Amino acid sequence: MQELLLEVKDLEINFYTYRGVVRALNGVNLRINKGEFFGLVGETGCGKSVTASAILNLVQNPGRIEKGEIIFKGIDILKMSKEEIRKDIRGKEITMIMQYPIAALNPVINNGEQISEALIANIDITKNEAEKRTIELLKEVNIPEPEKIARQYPHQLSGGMAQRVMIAMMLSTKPSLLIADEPTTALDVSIQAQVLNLLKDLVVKYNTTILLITHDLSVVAETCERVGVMYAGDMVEIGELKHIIDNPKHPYTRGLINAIPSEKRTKLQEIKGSVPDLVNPPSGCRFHPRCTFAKSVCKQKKPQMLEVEKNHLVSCYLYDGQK
Amino acid sequence: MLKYLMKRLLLFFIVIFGVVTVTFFLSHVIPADPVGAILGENAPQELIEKMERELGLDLPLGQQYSRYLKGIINWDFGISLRTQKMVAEDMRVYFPATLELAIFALIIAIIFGIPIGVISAVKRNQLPDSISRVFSLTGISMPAFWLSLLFILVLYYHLKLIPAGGRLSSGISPPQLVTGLYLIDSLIARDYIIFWDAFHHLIGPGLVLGWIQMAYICRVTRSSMLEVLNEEYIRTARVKGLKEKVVIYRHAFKNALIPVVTMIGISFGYLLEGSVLTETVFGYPGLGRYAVNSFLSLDLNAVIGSVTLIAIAYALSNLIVDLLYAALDPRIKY
Repeated sequence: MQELLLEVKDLEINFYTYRGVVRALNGVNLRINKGEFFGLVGETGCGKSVTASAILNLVQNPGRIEKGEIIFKGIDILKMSKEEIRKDIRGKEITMIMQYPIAALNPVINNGEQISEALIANIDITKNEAEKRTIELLKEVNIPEPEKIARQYPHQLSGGMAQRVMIAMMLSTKPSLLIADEPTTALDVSIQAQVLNLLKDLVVKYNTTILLITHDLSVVAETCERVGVMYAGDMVEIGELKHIIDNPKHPYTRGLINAIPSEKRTKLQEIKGSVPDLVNPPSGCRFHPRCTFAKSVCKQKKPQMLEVEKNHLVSCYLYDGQK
Repeated sequence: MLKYLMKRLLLFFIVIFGVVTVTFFLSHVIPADPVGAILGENAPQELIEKMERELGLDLPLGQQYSRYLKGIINWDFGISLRTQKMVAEDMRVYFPATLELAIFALIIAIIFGIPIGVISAVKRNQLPDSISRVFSLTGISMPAFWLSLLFILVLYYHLKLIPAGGRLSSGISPPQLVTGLYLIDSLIARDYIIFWDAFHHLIGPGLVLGWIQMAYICRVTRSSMLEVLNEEYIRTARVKGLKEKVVIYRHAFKNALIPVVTMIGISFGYLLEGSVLTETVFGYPGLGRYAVNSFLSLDLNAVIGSVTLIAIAYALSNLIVDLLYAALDPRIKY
C-alpha cells in the first residue's frame, strides 16, 4: 500500500476580474502518493498552474480559494495561518520550479547567494556551511565550474543552466514535494531531456515526490508514473501512465492522444472547437460542447469520478452504469 | 569601467562647453544694453565708449568669445556689475547656500519618499496607500511659492517654530569659511549655536522643497515596486519560504531602485536650479535667486557664471546617477 502524501479535495478557485468571475477550478480532486512522479496535463488555462499555486497557498489576487481542502501529510494547508505555511511548508516541505528559470531568479542577487539563502531560511545552518553546501548542490545538478557560477548572476546563465540552479535551490532543503510547473517548456529540445533526466535522478536520490505540470504529453510519457488530465478547471481523468496513453477513456484524453503525431496516423486529428471562456463555463460537463458523444445528461450535471479499472478514474457519463 | 568613465568625462566637458557657448551667444543676441543698464540712459557718449572698452564689448565677437572661454577655464567670470564683486567670489557664497538647502531637502525627500512609496505599494489600495497618495498628490500639485507662504504663516507666524527667513539670525555671524555649508562649517568650528541657528533657518525652505521632491520620489518608488512585486522571482522568493520582509526589502526593493535613483538625480538637479521661488519667499540667499536677480539687472557676467556652475552641478549629478546604476544592477556593465 502506497503512502498518501498530498490530497486535494474538491478545490474550487475563482478569479474576480473586471470581466466577471473566472471559474478557474471547479472542484478538483487529486491524490499524490509518496515518492511518485505525478504528471498533470492539460491545455493552457485549464487550471494546472492555479492548482500548483493553491498547494503553496500562493494564489494571487484577484484569485480566491472558495472551497476545498489541501491535505498535506494529514494536515489541511488551507486551515494553517499564513505564517505557519511560510515557516513550515514553503521552502521546507513543498517547493516549486518554474517555466522561465531566468525570470524566476532574482537579477540582482548572485546565483550562489540565492541558493544559500533558501538553506539558511529553512535549515539550521551557518552562512559558511550554506555556501559550501551550495557548491555541492551545484555540482549535483551537473553544473561545470560551480564556484564560478555561484558568483555569477542569473543573466549570465543559459536557460538550461538557470533551470539547474533553480532545481538545486528548490531541492536544497530536501522537500517532500517538488512542483515542477512546465519546467522544460521554455528550454531547447536537446536541453529538455537533460533537465528531465536530472530531475528523475535527483527525485530518487532525495526521496522527493514530484508534481510535474505540463501541456506536453511526450514529457509526461517520458517521466511520469501516474497522470491526471485537466480540462477547463475540471479533472477529467486520472490513471497510471499506461492507462492514459494506451487506453484513454475520456473523450478529451482520447482527443489529446490522437492529436500527437505518430507513424500510424497519416493525418493529425484535432479536437473540434476551442477552450471555453471560464467566466461563463458550459453547464454540466465542461467538455460537452466539443464532445462527439455528448448526451443530454452531460449538459445538466457534472459527472462523478468513476473507477473504470483499478486506479483509473474517469469523469464521464459514457462509463456510467458500466460497473 | 575606466573606459566608460573616461568617455563620460569627455562627454561631460562637451556638455559644459555647449552650455557656455550657447549662453554666450544668447547673451549677445538678446536686445539688452548692459552698459546702458549700468550708466543709465542719459550717460555721455565718451563714458559709454570707455565702459564698452573696459568690458571688452567693442571687440569683434570672435575675440570676445575666446576671451570669454579663457576666463571660464580660469574660473574668472569678471566682476558682477550689480554687486561690484568678483562673480566667482559671489558664487562661492551663494552656491554653498543652495547646495546646503538642496542636500537638506533631498535627504528629507529620500527618507520619507522611499519608505512611504514602498509601504504604499505593499499595501496597495488600502488605507496607508490612500494616505500616502494624498500626501504625494498635494506635494506635486501645490505651487512652491504658495506652499512656502503657507509654511511661513503656520510655522513662523502662528507656531513660532521657525525663523521668517534668511540663512542665519541677524546677531549671528557665519562660521569660518571652509566648505561654505554652514552646518558643516559650524561643526568644524565646534560652534553649536551657529549650527542650531543655521539648521533652524533650513527647516522652512527645506520642508517645502523636500515635500515636493518627496512626492515625486514616492510615486516613482510606488510604481516601480508594484511592477517588481509582480515578477516571477518574487514568487520564487516566496516559494523558498522567506519572510515577507526579506521578500520585499531584499528581493523586491533592490530591483525597484533604478527608476528611483534616476528620479533622485533629477530631483537634485531641480533643487539646484529650480528653487528660486522658495528661496525668494524665504529670503534665502541661494544661487537661483542670485542668478535671477542678476538677469533682471542685466548683470551678464553673473548670469554666465551661475549658468555655468549649475550646468556643471547638473551634469555631475547625472554622472553619479549613471555610475550608481552599475552598482545596483549587475546586468549593467560599462
